Amino acid sequence: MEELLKIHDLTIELRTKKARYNLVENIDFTVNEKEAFGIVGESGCGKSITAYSIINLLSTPPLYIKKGSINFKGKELTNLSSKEMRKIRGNEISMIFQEPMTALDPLFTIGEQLKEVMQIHTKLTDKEMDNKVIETLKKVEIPRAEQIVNDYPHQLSGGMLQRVMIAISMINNPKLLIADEPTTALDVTIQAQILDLMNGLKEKFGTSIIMITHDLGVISETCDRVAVFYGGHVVEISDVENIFENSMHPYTLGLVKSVSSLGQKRKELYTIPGVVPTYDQMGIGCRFYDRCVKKMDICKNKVPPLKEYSKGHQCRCWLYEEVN
Amino acid sequence: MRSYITRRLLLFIPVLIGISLAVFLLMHLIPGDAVDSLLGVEATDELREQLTKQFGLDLPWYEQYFNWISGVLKGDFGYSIRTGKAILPEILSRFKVTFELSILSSIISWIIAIPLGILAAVKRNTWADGLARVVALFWVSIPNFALVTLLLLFLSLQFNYYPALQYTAFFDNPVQNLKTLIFPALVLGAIMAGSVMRMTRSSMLEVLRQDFIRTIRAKGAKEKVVIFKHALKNSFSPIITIIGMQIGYLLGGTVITEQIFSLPGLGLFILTGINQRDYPVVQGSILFFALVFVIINLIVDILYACIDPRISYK
Ligand SMILES: Nc1ncnc2c1ncn2[C@@H]1O[C@H](COP(=O)(O)OP(=O)(O)OP(=O)(O)O)[C@@H](O)[C@H]1O
Ligand code: SF4
Ligand SMILES: [Mg+2]
Repeated sequence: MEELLKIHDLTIELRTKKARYNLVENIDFTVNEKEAFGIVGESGCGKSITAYSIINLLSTPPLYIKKGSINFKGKELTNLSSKEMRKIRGNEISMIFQEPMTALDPLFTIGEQLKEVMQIHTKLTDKEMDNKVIETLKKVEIPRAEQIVNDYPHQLSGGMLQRVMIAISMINNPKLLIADEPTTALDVTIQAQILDLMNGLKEKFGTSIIMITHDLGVISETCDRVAVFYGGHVVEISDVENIFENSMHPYTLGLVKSVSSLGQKRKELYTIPGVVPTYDQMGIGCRFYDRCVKKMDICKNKVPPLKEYSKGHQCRCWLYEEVN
Repeated sequence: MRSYITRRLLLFIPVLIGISLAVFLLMHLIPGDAVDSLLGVEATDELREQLTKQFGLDLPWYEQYFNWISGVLKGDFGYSIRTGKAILPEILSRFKVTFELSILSSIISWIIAIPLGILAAVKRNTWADGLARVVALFWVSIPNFALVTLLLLFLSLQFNYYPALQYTAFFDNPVQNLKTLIFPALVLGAIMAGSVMRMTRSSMLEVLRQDFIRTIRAKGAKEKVVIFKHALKNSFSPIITIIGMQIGYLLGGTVITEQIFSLPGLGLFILTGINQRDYPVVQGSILFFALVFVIINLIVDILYACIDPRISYK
């Protein structure tokens, strides 16, 4: 399997007048070609900012990449000029967002907004673009595509708009699609349809996907591998099957426990006690320390390293370190 | 859309009736009457009575109102008590001047304010934004007459400019016409620019915070496209609102500017009418002004619908 995106030691900093905080710290993960890679974690753990940093969409100021590398197909993205970065956005790496209802410009038609991303990156004629728009809308299973191109966003439902967003992101055949909680704002039935659609497109286009979610269920339905985030750290990376059957990190264990059974109707059975510390309350040790049922002395003052313990299975926890 | 416009036009009727009544009653509450101010204190009672009768001022107020308004409906605004001239033609000819001045100064204010507003929004919280905001705040806080006077002083000292003594219509001599109007228009435009700029800035900032801007950036669009094609278009509604209001006020005449630059506009006409207790002039002008104002409001509402597909008038 070939590596497509390799993030190494990425730290994103929030600069305020008073202080600087590392919102995410030493992020390490790799996304392979044609792979669906999941990022899962509670609200505020840094999933979105990590994703935005890939295509330099962080709101700077106040957020800055403090250190680390983001390598895409052998190219270092953190050093690109804004012009070079624009060539990648929407073309080689595209992104869809959580709120389809607000993700499109209300004053332009669906067709215009699909065409815009082709106008930026291709030299197709108007006619060719029109055809491609219809063709792509059909690929994302939008009924009456010929009429919908002339509609405005407010005339479509959330599910339809998310399909349009997917169409916009796929129309230039990107290598990587970043989906930031693409189904969180949608009804359960629509959610399932959108996930199916994305699975299908991944196969058809051979696009890699980074699927960001707080829902392990979504991960199990769509992803090959997954990184678990907690408080701005990657705490575990593994194959999806492994994460459910052999989770190592106490936080992952809790997450898995809180999901009753895969694929079927999920019900919250268990929630991890305690709350996530906010970025200004982070200790200097393991970020899960306050809520961990297996905490030890060392955990309080020293961050455990992210290490591979079996092939393809990494974890950041002192439990597995031999020094103990 | 068409039926919406028809309904809005029908709504004009109660609005104009209300305004005409209010103006009419207000004029009658002002102490002193036209006959006094026309004849002076020396006049004989006979003469006084005769004139009062001639102007219909001896009738009960509602009859006076009815006579006036039924004339207005036939396009007859009556005659000036002072000059005896028909009022409507006078209003219309003065309105031409005021209209031209309003349009010219509005365009000037957009040219100044909109680019500055965009710049301040895009460069928010930098020194450029700070400077633009302070200047705009200062600008909107100075009383207009002070600004006009200062500018005139400046113009006359620096450019040896003085107001033309005679107004020249555009179609008679465009160059002379523009020469007469450009300085008052600059003054008014500069005055209006402050609030237009502030509105542009805050509206742009609001739009730039919205989610869809991120989508456009994620498409790989240039910042130029993000700002001018998408953000600016989405910012227009509040800007149009404030521009509409300003044009509305300008069309009512800008007394001070007209006075200083000796322009025969609507503002001076109304002012003179008030000073001389010339009821028909004041009533007619204000009613006309109200009509212009509601028309501008209608145009603004129609413009909203042209820009924003979410607004549909049925
Ligand atoms: N522009 C910003 N200014 C200040 N803090 C920010 C900014 N953006 C994000 N943060 C902080 O960074 C942290 C991570 O935010 P992020 O949006 O990446 O979380 P997330 O994992 O995507 O959560 P969610 O599931 O709620 O989307 C949060 O604590 C958030 O408060
Ligand atoms: S390092 Fe310690 S506190 Fe952190 S998860 Fe492991 S056992 Fe718990
Ligand atoms: Mg998020």
